Amino acid sequence: MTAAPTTPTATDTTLEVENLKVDVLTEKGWATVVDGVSFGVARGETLGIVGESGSGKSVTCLAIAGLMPPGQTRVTADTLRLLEHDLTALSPKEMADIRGPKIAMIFQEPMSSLNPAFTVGDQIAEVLRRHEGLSRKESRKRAIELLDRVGVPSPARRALQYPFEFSGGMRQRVMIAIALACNPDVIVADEPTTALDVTVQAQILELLREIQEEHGMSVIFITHDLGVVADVCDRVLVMYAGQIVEGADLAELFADPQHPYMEGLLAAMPRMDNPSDALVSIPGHPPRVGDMPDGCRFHPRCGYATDACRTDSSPLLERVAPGHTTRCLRHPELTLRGSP
Amino acid sequence: MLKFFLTRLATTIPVLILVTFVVFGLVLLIPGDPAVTIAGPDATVEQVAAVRVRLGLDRPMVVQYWDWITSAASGDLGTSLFTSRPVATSIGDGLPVTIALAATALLISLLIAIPTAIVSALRRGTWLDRVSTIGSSLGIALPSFWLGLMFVLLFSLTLGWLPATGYVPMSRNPGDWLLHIFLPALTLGIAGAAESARQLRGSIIGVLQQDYVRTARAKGLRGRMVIGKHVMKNASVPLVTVLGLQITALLGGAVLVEQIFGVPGLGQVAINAVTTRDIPVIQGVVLVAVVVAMGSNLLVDLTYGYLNPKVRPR
Ligand SMILES: Nc1ncnc2c1ncn2[C@@H]1O[C@H](COP(=O)(O)OP(=O)(O)OP(=O)(O)O)[C@@H](O)[C@H]1O
Ligand SMILES: [Mg+2]
Repeated sequence: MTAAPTTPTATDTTLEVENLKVDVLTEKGWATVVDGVSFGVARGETLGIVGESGSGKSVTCLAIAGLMPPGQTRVTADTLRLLEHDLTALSPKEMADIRGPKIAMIFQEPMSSLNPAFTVGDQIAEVLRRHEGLSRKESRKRAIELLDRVGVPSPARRALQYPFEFSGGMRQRVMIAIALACNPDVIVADEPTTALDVTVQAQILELLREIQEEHGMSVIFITHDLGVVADVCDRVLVMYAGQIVEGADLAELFADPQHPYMEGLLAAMPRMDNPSDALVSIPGHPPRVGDMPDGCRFHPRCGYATDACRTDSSPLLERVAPGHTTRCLRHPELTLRGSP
Repeated sequence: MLKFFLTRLATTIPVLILVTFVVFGLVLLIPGDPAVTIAGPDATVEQVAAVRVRLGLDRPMVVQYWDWITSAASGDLGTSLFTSRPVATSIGDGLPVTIALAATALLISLLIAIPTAIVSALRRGTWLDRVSTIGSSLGIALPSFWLGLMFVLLFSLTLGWLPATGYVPMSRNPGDWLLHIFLPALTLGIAGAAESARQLRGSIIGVLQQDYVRTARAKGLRGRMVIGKHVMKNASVPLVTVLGLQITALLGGAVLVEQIFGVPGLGQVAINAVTTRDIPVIQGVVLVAVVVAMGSNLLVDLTYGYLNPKVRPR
């Protein structure tokens, strides 16, 4: 994949997010689960979002696409721009018009993300009928072409089958066909391979890569597998407890991490070259929603934490190099270990 | 789908045969000797015996059964012991009325249940939801004869909108038919409506949590499509199971409702036959009722197969 510009200019940025904040209603009242997230995605770029479970990766993307349940969620942002659309100003109806042709999603659970009661052909075709106004016949024909494109064998026959007749990998191909149907400018892939076994995972990643090269769309790739990140991403955001704690180009992030959390994630990464190396994981747990520690949110688990980290207000996301940001008070004095 | 239909049809045949035994044997359970009843209170033993021979009641049970079942298969259900009318004719008069009543009741109950359930599920926890939940509980708890009387009081006697009793066949005047059938059908359907609404609300709420509903939204489908297509087709599966049970209850309830509103259906035929111990008529009515119930359950199974592709054989 080509190295994308790290600071995309307005014209080639397909998606621009500034100060995104998402609150959800819990039993104890409103709690912030995504706090001040800002980033841009360039055309043709693959942006990775990594972080432990519960760090707010999915919520960030669902909120951008207008898919958080209304009533139980509040989404605010200074900027939410997808191509020429200001998403903060759109009605739910107008958002629905955009989902499909402008931004499409692929979800983690291929087993449950397809409707068991309809044929896969119909589930692809209905997107085309909705957004491109195709007739039943035309949309069915296009659905078969799409199944063929994503590598489903004997697509004409398979289009008439139901999801339960497909394996996990094949279902994920169907999900990709649905996402691809209206040729979107941005595809959000939320842990698309987590539920699959390793060989199938490699095939699906390869398919996504091919499709991106063909269509030149932007991809936001959510995962907690740094191996997959290294494989597919151009640029990476690291999330912790609802905030971005580091952002950089892939190579720079791996070679020269600037946040202790990223150093910990890299150290915990299983290595091909040294499989006997015991798996080190970051000790402790991420803070619970609605129960954030004072100061830096990572300090209870951080080996470098000082009193300043514990008491000062939450550190800001600072630029350490062109296109490289971190949210750590001590970054100038620390030298962190990267991945070889 | 055709294969599914034929398989289901084949499995009903042994059940049907079993039912004919039961229906035939039913007569043995009815107290009293029909020959004595027919011959009259003053008849001598010889006269009663003559009646018995005339009716063929003296022959062995197996012969009587075979006789009955072969005639029934060709549409001859015998003649009434009292009116001497062919049983098939009486049933032919009553059955369409009862089917029309039950079908209208089912339709009304779904027309009430489906929108109520959708609104409740989508507006969960609001006053609308609470009102419909209370309404459902009442609909299930209140006896239908009481409801029927209340409806008559309100719509017929007080407001004068609808006739209190009587029946006009649809073929004679569809408008009048609807006026006459509406209150009985509403009375018959209300309990089912409440039960279906409660069941459907629960399953819609369950389905709304499913990942595939999120997928449907992520595709940009309009709310109408997400609910009407993706949610409802899945949420209807448990409803259809409930409907299968309700249909049998509807046929039973029809007997009562027909009495209240003076609707000349199969229920009237049945009640007259039972009070006079008119055995051929009782047998005929029960047999026909069972066949109708089995037919409608077959229909329910087919709907189930349509909704849930996994249960179809391939
Ligand atoms: N609809 C919701 N209502 C309440 N809380 C929610 C809702 N959706 C998400 N959350 C909470 O928001 C936090 C962030 O969740 P999110 O799904 O974004 O995590 P994630 O980074 O995607 O994790 P994972 O790797 O497990 O997918 C979690 O604590 C989660 O419990
Ligand atoms: Mg997630």
